[in-house]
Amino acid sequence: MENDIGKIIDDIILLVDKKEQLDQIIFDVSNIGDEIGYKSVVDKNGDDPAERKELVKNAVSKIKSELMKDYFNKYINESNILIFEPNRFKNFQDQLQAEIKKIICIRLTIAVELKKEDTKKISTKLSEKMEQKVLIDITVDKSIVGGAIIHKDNYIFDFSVKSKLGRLADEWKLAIEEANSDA
Amino acid sequence: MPLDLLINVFITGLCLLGMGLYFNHREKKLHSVAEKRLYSFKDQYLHHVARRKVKEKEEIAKLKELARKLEEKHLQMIVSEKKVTVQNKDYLEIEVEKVMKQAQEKARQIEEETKASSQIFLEEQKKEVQMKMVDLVMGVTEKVLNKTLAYDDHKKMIEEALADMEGEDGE
Repeated sequence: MENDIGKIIDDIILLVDKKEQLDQIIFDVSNIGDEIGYKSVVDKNGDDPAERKELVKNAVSKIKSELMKDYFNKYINESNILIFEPNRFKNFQDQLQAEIKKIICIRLTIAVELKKEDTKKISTKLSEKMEQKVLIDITVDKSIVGGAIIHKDNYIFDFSVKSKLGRLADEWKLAIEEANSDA
Repeated sequence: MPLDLLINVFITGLCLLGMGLYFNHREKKLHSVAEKRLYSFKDQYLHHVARRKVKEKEEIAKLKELARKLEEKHLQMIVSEKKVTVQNKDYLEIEVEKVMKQAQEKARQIEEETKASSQIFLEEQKKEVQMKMVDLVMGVTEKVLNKTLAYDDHKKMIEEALADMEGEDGE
């Protein structure tokens, strides 16, 4: 079962490619956890597998993340719903949150929309290098001309062409001023 | 008849002779009167001419005296004028020199100030133009890059940026 939980978490994390999706998943999992918790077992005849399955299906149908909804529906149809037992789901929730915490979120501001496969390639490459799941969140801003502005943790790395040109212009202007003052 | 005729001729001749003598005498008298008058007029004329000549001489003498006096006065004036002119000339020369020097100095100052201000203005303009040129070049570069950068270029730059970020992050 522990392996099952780990596999589900790996599958989910592999599906995620945006920070918002991750946030939504955390929120949705928390909602499902509330719906199918110990209280529901007591209130809604938790001993009946059919009713329990219906409850789980109902809880899953309410979540907003399409990605999670599809995954859980498929899981419910293909496998059992043991994972949705209150204690196991709590365990899953904790592990998921722990795994999500490990995910490095990098927000990229770039000038063009990257193809999905390229985004994945970059994400995978970074994950391999950092030995941690890296999630890339992309914002398109054509004004930066090229390159990228990278937001990681609390740091901003500006490698945009616009800022490079700006620095070049500043250096150039400084050189002109120095040349004028020397003259 | 011939006697009468002779008498008549004689009388007539006598009358004619008498008349001739009379007229001759009268003519001589008139001639002498006329001569006297002529001499008298001649004397008068000569006297008049003499008086006029004397008067003329006096007038000429007076005029000459006046002219001499005028000349003297003129000479005096010329001499005094010359003195004044010499004095004035010195003063004026000094004044002119002074004014010229002041004007030259002022002109030099204005020229220097103008040169300095124009130099400053030129430098400022040059600097502004250079700065604007930098902005212009950067603006054009941005536009050109926007148009010329292909998807692969963008991808490469993004990958490079991420690699640079790793480098900086590692440090």
